Amino acid sequence: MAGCASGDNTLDAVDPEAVAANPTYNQVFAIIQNRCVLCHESDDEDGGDGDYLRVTTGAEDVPGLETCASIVALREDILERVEDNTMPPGALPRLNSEEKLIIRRWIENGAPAPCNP
Amino acid sequence: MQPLKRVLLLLVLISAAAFVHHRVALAVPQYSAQAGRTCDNCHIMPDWDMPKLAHRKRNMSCQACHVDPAGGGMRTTAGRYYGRSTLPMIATSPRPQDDWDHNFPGIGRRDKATPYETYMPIGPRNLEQAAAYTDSINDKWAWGTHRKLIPTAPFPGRYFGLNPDPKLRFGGDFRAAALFAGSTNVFPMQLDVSTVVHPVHHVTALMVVGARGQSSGYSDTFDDSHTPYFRDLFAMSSEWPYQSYVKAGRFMPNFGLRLDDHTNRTRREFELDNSIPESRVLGVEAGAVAAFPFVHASYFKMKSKFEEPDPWDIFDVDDGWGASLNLGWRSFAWSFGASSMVRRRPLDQGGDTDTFGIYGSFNPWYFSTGIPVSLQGEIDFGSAQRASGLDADKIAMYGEIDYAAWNGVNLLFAYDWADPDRDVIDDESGRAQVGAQITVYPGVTIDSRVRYLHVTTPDGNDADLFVQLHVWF
Repeated sequence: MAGCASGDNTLDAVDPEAVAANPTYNQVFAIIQNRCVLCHESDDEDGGDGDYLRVTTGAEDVPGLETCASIVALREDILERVEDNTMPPGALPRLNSEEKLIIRRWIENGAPAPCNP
Repeated sequence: MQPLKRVLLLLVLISAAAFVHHRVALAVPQYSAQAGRTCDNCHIMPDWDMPKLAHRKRNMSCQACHVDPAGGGMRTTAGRYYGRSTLPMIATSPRPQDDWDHNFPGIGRRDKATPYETYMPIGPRNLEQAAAYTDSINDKWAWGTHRKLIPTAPFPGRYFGLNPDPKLRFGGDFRAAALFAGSTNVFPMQLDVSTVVHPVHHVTALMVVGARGQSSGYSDTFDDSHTPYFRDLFAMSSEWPYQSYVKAGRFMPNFGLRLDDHTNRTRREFELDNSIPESRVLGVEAGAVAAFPFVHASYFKMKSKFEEPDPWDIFDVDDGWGASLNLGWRSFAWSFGASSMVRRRPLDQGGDTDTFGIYGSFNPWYFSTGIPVSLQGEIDFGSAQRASGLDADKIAMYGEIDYAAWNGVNLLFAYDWADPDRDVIDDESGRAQVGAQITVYPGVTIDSRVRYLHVTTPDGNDADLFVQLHVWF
């Protein structure tokens, strides 16, 4: 199938206006909510038994990716994992080019967020 | 592809299909192929009398087994009968016709009790006899009978104890899944309750209320403000000659192969994910499924690509419009179809899309009981506006081969691949699946698949195991 694929440049180069120049935290949160929080959430009434994955940074547990603080703290790790397609795991669909570019630009703009004014 | 080229290609393909000589019969995918083989499942007259051309169903029409002419979900009486007598490992209804006796070792079947050389040992052989079977109906999920028996409608006794043509029926479709991808995640996938009202011949209303599952847990499924919702809600006039129909209400546009696997890229890349409310539109669809050409055309209005439509207000669709055309030729042995779809919305509501696809199937099972195999595939081309207004060209393709190892056991290999933006480097990916669909008992199917995703970054290649418990009635 590789022969069917095409394109020589990243989305950023092909169409710089494909996503906003200054993505908002809400845009990033919507992506995280759709793609990551299904597994990377804090324990709730469902996860009290530890069935669900939790985000970890080294030895220290942090709240799940449904919180602003976690998203901001882990932003570089998030970007690395979605850009090298190691997350989401298994055969789950990976993020598309627009979603990856939104996260990248948000970080490059200083990751503005309610918890990171 | 330019619009003119698409139209020309479509005309060439249709013309070619119209002149190809073929043997009788229809259909795919695998279950359609099997249902088509079991003649008693669809024939509307006993004694295998050939119905008039206008009423033949030997075309693998989705309507043969499903209420919705587009396929999927709530089943007709013929579909229910197939699900009880032929599909499962352990059948609960006798099947009075030989098809392909390949029972799983140690599993008994009711149809063993019926000698094949004397087919149709049960049920009426004509309309006059059918009247006497009215009292034999024992159906927990259907009520009401039509007083007048007509040759083109199912009649009492034809489907064992099932109500052949009820005025009211309920159905359900419940799915739970387990995903093993480094960790185990168990979650509800789908919770649908369907209601069919069929007050008079030719008039049907279908309502499907569904709750979308959340892989984060059961409480999230019900806490989600968007669930449950009307998955489908339409009124339909059907059962006309050549299985023609018209329906109006909320549904999903008719395009390509309506696959049960909603994650397939031939569906998801083109806003046709059957599991989410965003794929639903409000419109009118008309079609006909003759022996053997078929056509489905729809015009619809829709919500913004970025918003879910109101779960209950089906008229919450003021952000754009679209149209789809799906036509081709479908017999028991092979099928070929072509689809096109346009969507028109303001750029900030998702922009315009143009999609064109071809698909087909081949059913060796039709030629020999020793080859219980069916194949199907689809390739779609499309363009969708990016936020900049420039078009992103897409390609998605899909192929599947099924092998009916035993009654109730279907082994499959499937592969889908997509390049969501042909101008962008390294965004394509492919996914292979090897699995088994085991229908142990009527209404209980276990679908297990090992899935392998390959992407352009080697570290991102990964596999998982997906197991689905599907309970339906």
